[in-house]
Amino acid sequence: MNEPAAADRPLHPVALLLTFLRRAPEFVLGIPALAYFVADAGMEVVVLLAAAGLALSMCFAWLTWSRFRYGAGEEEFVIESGVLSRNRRAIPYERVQDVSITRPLLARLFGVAVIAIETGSGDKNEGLLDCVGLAEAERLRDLIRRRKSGMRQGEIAAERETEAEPALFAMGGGRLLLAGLFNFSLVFLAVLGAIAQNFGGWLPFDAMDLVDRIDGVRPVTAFNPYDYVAERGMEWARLFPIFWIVASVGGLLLVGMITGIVRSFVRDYGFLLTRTEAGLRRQRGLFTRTDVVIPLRRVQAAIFSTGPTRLLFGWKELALQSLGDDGKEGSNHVVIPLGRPTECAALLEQIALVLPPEPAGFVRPSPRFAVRRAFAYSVVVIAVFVGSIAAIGPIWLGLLALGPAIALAWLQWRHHGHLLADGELFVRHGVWRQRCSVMACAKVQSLTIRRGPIQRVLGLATLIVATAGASTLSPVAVIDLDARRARELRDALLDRAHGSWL
Amino acid sequence: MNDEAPAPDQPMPMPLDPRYRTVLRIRTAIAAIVLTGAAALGALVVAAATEWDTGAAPIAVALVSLIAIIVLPGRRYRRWSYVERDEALQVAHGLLVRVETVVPFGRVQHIDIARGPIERACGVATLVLHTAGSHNSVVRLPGLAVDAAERMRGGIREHIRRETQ
Repeated sequence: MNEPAAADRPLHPVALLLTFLRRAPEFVLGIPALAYFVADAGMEVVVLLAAAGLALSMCFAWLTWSRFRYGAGEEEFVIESGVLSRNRRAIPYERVQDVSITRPLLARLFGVAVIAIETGSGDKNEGLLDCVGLAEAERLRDLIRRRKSGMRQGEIAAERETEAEPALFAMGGGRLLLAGLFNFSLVFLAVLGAIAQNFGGWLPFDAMDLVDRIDGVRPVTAFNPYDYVAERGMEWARLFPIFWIVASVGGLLLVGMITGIVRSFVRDYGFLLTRTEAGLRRQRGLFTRTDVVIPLRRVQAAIFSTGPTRLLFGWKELALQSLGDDGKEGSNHVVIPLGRPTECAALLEQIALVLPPEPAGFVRPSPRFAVRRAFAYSVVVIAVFVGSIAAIGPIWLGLLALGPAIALAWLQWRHHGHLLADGELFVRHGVWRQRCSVMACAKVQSLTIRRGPIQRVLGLATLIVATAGASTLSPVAVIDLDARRARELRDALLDRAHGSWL
Repeated sequence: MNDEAPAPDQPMPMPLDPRYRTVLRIRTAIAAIVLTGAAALGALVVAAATEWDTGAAPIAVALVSLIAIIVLPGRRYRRWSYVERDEALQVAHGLLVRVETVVPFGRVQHIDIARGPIERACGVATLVLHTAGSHNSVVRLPGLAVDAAERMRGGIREHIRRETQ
């Protein structure tokens, strides 16, 4: 058709600077190791060696950079690379699945971006341009998308004029703050604890030592708050235990909230979801800006999730499950980190899905679901009991532990259910973090009925509904239906899907 | 059991080719020989290192293996069945955990006919359906007579061609 596309554009020169900034710390950190090996020589020699190493490494980086060219042809995108052995990679536009723009903090400072062109083959770096100018990145993305949808030069310009990219969902500061509060997390504490555990010896001070110092010379091994306040004549501090508890709990809550808010801001700052002609475009991030397009054709299912507090205030998180690379495990893209049901419904309309109905309308699994779970949990409890509690406690203590096990089984039964509507299957599960998957019957790839030995005794069956994007570890499953009903549900799903296969 | 019976409007499940029983028996025998050999080796090592008389262990393994060779292939064979529905292939198997998978023809990406050395010797083949799913994306139906496998592959391919047109 046309002459082969010319790869005539180099990467942005800032790429070299970024490489330098990335590599320099490695060489600085390498200095102590180097010093160990050339112990006789002075420090100047060591630093000189490290600098020479860095210079050499940068020479190679420059060679690689100078031999890297890309170009967008009429039919395909071309990347030529390689210093000695040249490699010419051609990516036909029809095969492009996604063009994402990532802007890490450093790249943002210099006004550049990393472009990744994905085609769905296993190799993640198949079309990586690290890095190009921001304007160039956006030009390339638009160009690839439009070539992909078969438009020509004139139409591209026309489309560019009319395009407004209406915002489907955006997150302002208030919403972000709220999301952060719901994101309450004590991970930070765990991390601190782990650090103290592993590096406690390296800290410039000892925690106990610190208390010691505050308290003067008195040893604090038997630190007693009563004595502490009594000595200081703080009689009001008879309430000390209560104050102590309130303060610690409050402190924990505060730490958890701050952690949650910081995490939300870092990840979701400037969250913006817009509609493009092929899919949904999501931009987010405080330091690293990511810009991802989720092609609508590849969306397999929608997943709602709420935590207990979120549920209380009527908030939901919505993620879309999209097809992974060539049948491999797909990925979940959060499209609404925190939204009202109406906002979720408006978004779902774009992908021809609907909101899940009220939980009351769902079909619960057979009550024997709870029997089977309770049995399984009880076995664990008894095993633990025999292993440990029996040595220290009476038998009734172990029996008491069976209570929560049975309660958990019952709760899980209450919160599991499915509902088959005209074109969609809804499956909900989870007690604490409640989730509901929504999938179009047309997206079903295969249906499996599974019956273990205990299930057979109880006359139960689990129906596993495979879609293309689901994780291998947790496919959508309707657990422990009455065996007959599982078959009926499977046949009903087959019927719904009939005629909608492609 | 009552719920094992198929619904009256469904076609009857088809058994596999009886020669597949031989395939299963040979496979079980190979596993048994390997296992018994390993047990004998382990017994020798333990006997050399300690003063224990370990002669009984490999004999016990051999006996259990023998029972497995006699009993298991028939049972496993009987558990395999398939139904050619209008628009889908249904495959059931599993001795302890019963698994029953339905693959709509319209979802099949490509089809393999696989024949290992034992299968070739016994004149059977395995039909392998690949879907885009990530759970159970490969559905295998072993123990088909070669011509039956070819016929089914042809039928499914025909179906896909009709639908994509």
